[in-house]
Amino acid sequence: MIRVNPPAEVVSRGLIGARVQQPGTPTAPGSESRRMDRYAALGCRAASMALETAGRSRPNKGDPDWGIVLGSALGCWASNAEFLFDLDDRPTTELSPGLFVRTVANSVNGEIGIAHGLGGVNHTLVSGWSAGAEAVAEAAALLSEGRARWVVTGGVESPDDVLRRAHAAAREEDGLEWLPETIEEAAALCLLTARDSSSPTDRTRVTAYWRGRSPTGRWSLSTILGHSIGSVVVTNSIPPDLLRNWREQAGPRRLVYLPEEFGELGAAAAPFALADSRRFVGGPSGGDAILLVARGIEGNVAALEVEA
Amino acid sequence: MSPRARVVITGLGAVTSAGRGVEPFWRACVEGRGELRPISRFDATAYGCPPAGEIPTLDRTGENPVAGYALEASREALDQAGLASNVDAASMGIVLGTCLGETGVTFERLRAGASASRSGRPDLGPVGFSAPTQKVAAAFGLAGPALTVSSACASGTAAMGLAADCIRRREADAMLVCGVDTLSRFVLSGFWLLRALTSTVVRPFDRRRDGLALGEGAGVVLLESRDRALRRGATALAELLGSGSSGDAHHMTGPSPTGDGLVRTIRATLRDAQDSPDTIDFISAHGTGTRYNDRMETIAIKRAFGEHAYRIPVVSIKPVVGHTLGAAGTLDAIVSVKVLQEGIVPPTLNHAEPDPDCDLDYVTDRARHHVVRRVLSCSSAFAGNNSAVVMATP
Repeated sequence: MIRVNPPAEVVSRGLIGARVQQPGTPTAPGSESRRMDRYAALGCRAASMALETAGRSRPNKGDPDWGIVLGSALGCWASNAEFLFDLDDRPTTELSPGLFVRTVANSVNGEIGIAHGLGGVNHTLVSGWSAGAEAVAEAAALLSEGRARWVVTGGVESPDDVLRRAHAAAREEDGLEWLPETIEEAAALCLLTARDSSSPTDRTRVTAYWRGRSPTGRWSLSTILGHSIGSVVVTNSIPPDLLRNWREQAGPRRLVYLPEEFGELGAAAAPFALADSRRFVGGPSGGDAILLVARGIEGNVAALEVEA
Repeated sequence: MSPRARVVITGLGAVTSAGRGVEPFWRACVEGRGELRPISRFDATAYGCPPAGEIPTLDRTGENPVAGYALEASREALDQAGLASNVDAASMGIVLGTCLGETGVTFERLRAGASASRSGRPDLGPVGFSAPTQKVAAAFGLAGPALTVSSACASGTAAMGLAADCIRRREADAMLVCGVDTLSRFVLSGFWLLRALTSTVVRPFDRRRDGLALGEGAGVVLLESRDRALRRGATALAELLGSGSSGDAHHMTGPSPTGDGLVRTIRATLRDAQDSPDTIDFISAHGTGTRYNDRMETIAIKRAFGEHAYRIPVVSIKPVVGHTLGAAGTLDAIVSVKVLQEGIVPPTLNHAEPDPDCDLDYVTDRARHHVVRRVLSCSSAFAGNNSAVVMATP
């Protein structure tokens, strides 16, 4: 594990999606969605929720202290598919330049930056389901290095119907029947800052992270399990035999399999677990820390050590 | 965190319209030889048949070449580093920067499917942004971080910074950095819609510039911790001193007219490198040849470097191989390393008529001998992303 020193604190959160929604928050993106696709609108709305909850007034335009580091497996896929269909279905002169602009995965970063004046570090990771945890790790590291003071980070997934059907087809045809039937639409963003002496003591903290890849698909949880870990949260769908293996490695610790309750949230899963991590506190082993483990079907693994 | 590891570059690899390998690419840059030609892969008539840096030897069997380019360039970089046959996979990772990854494969399958319509049941493989990353990582059995970054046209430079940070934070001892993208009807039509394509030639920073030409390919840079490179007796080609990124927070396609975002990136990069502006003696510019980008970039360089800006050679290689999107940043980094190694600054091809808005030293005639110790390589992108890295002689 790579220690994050000082730890990165969760100042506030913005959660959107049918299964992760905070009570009392709107279920659909706000009016800003008119010129955005759903992917960008979801991210923008979740970022607004996090920033408004934190009571942050709008920073100066392009404030270098405020960064955005996001992860997504699907990114702007729906807009890309729509543009591709239009290429075949419509005359060249009727294609939309506005739609083409939405076919970059970092469009969500751009829209959040424009809406809130965030001009610091800026990355969009699209490494698969682990991308959200990888993004949070990157944000925490950048904060600890003093390269940003606040970072909006997390994951956004916006599958369209075509992709949902493709997912179902792949599940049937490729022997991936253990996958959930669909990928859930969700945006789970957190506003992070580096912990300092004036920080409230009750904030959730990212204290360490790990990012890697499993060439064999049999990555061992025990390689990163420390004594302080009381709960392990497996944030994404994994094959049943691997889950059994990880349960054994977790030993007396509490192991939570997030897809059972919330479905497959893709790259938004680990950030959601971070935002809502208090529900995972208190394993029977007595350790206080929580280990969030995101594993993509392509073999990437990313883990966040969290104190809630 | 523990003290950061120093990062050196020990291998380079490239696949471009100038040829397979770094050497033909570098020779084309130094000789000022444009490798742009009419597109043959698909019918570009509807888009005015613009010139492009198409790789003519593309396998036309229908398989998307993205991972192929990335693999070929990665092997060259590993070979140069002396690691082709003994990759220490456990401590090596990859960051791949791309605009589209293999989403093109997905789309082609959609189109070729029996029910290629919005309502039909598609026959899809992986969605594709991270597919090339995983293919390269699998080919070498890499177990370190395997990140895919998609910051549009700044993806390659962003990948350089992210990978360097993985080593500096001791997540890995070595990282392959790959920038890759391919030419497609999808991309060409999009830039055509935005009226960003030239119909003649790419002329970065020239008064007559009227747009960019697209290209394709891969650029790979192998980064290692300096300690490990020294231990195994590897030759360090350059040292990567720092990186930075920013968002314009201005507009989705138009760069900030004041260059604010790029200025922030350059300053953050110099700060990360613990360098002052007057130490930089070469800039590998984004230099797309569009009116807005080149003007913005010039303004940003002048704001970030002050009077020293006029003493720095500023070069764009876009007229040589085109704008290769996700590959642009790593190809620019390769040029920067070669400049550091050989003391030769390539020209900005096709620059003949000065623009009052672009009044820096763009090396307009021919390559020039110039001792260079510190370089800045920067990229800008849709959605307002900017990224930069500083490299130095080892």
